[in-house]
Amino acid sequence: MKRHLIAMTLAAVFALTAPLNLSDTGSSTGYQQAVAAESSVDGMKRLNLIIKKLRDAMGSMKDFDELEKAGLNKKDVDRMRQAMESKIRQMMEDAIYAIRSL
Amino acid sequence: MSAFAVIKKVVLISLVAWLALFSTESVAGDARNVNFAAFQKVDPNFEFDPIVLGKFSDFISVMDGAQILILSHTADSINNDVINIQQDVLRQGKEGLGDVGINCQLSYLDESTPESTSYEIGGFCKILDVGDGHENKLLAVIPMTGLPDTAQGVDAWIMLYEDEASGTAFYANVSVH
Repeated sequence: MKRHLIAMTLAAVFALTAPLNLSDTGSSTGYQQAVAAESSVDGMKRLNLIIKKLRDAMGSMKDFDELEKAGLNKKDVDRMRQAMESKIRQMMEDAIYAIRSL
Repeated sequence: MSAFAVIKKVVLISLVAWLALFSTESVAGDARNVNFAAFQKVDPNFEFDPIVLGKFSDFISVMDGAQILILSHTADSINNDVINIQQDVLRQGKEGLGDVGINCQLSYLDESTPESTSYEIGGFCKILDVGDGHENKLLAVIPMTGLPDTAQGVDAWIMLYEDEASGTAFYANVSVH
């Protein structure tokens, strides 16, 4: 009799908790998926921003020729070119990091 | 422009030039702060003066027909610094990512000697208005320009560049404090 009571209790606990656990697990997976999807969207947005800035910075390299035409000293313009190249390298590293994070 | 306005400008330019050439009151070799400001006209009748007097707040108040876009203070600048100033907004639109604002790269030279001071700035600024049907990118090339030094006793700002189409103007000076 005692065994039957224990078995019935275990069965009842299992019957009540199992669906709860399942439902709990289902909700958690949904949440995680939503977070992952959101983080992926944010990651893509971040990557788009970096790529846009990177493209603009690369396009700026030709603008330094205009500075020389305007009479700026070549030595000064070369220093500005180096500064821009350094920024471009930094942005490329940021872009690689953003791609890896997707 | 009235005769009085012309005389005022001539007097101001002469005053600042005189201070730049003959005053060595402040010790040459002390690092200066480079101050840079960009304005855009909101009143089409407003005219930018080539030289404007006033400390930061007075300077901004005087520009009553323009809105300030950037006010930048680069502390302790030294000879050969490359100063980057960026104030633009990337905005997602229907056609993709837009970009509106100003992006500058400036070369700063401090060629002061123990006898006299000399501060110059030059480079380029991009005035961007891209997105929402616009595709305007203006490259403003700023030739090397001598900067007034407020440490010489006059808080003067010199106009580096004006783009009449967009109503944008850039001003700069150097200061110790």
